[in-house]
Amino acid sequence: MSKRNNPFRYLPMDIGRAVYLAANPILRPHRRTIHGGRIRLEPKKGIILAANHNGFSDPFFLGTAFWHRRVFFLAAKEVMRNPLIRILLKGMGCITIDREISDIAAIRKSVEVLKAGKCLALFPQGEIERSGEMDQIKAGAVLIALQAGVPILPIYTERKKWWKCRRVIAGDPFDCRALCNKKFPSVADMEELSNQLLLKIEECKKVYEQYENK
Amino acid sequence: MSNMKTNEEIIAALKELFERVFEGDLEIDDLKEETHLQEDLGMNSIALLYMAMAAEEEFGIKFENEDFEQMQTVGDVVARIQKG
Repeated sequence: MSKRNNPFRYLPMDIGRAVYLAANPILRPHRRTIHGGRIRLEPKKGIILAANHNGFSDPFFLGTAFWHRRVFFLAAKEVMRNPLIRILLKGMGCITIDREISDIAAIRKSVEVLKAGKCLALFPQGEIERSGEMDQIKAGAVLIALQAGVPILPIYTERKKWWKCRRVIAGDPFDCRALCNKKFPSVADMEELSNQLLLKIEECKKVYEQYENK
Repeated sequence: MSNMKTNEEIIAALKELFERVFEGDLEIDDLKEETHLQEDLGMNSIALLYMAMAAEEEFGIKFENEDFEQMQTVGDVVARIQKG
């Protein structure tokens, strides 16, 4: 039975989703768009969830917030050092990326997942920034979005103690292809689009702070 | 497809590809096999990735992670494309 036709190929991921669902009443993710409405992801359509990264719990929290979709995660290879954690995370749909090299295999796998209509969550900063500041983001998210032809959903969230309700604020989906009218966007275009994505995440941060200050 | 082209033809095709991908940001008038991708052309990791993905479409080949370790110059890219 080929991997593609295996009806159980997503079983570990779906078990993970059941864990995320069970975690919902405990973590109580408060999901809102920047306009105050509910976040809706179109089913079976590829989309990148691009969030700020300020703690190790971010992937688990995003999985909990978006449990209703199969979400793949792009994770640094350093996270996969422990063999047990590697087996667990691979089963949960983690795609390993080596940040030290031009990891074309990871980019290709990410594009494949998105073209198959799945969600891919990544942290465009490329590392944890506990202060919440986002000075710059890497162009990898835009590169993957352009290759896969999918939008990016900018997201902002902050760490809290586990018993406190944690907000997830999402901006409007960011369509790189529509913003860049060229058939072959240049590297300079990708860097400009990355700057715009950063601004979108900052916009989500402002709305987040308004909620927190109420 | 790549085996039918000479090195000069591949370099000419790469030059067009670079013009498209880098839009005049690189000094590619004098592109030679000895031209160093990072030192002479200033390509960073994203630029290398994008170049590789564009070259995959152009030449019908598939790069692997290990290829990037050996690709320091335009000549290395040409050799990799010739390998198929």
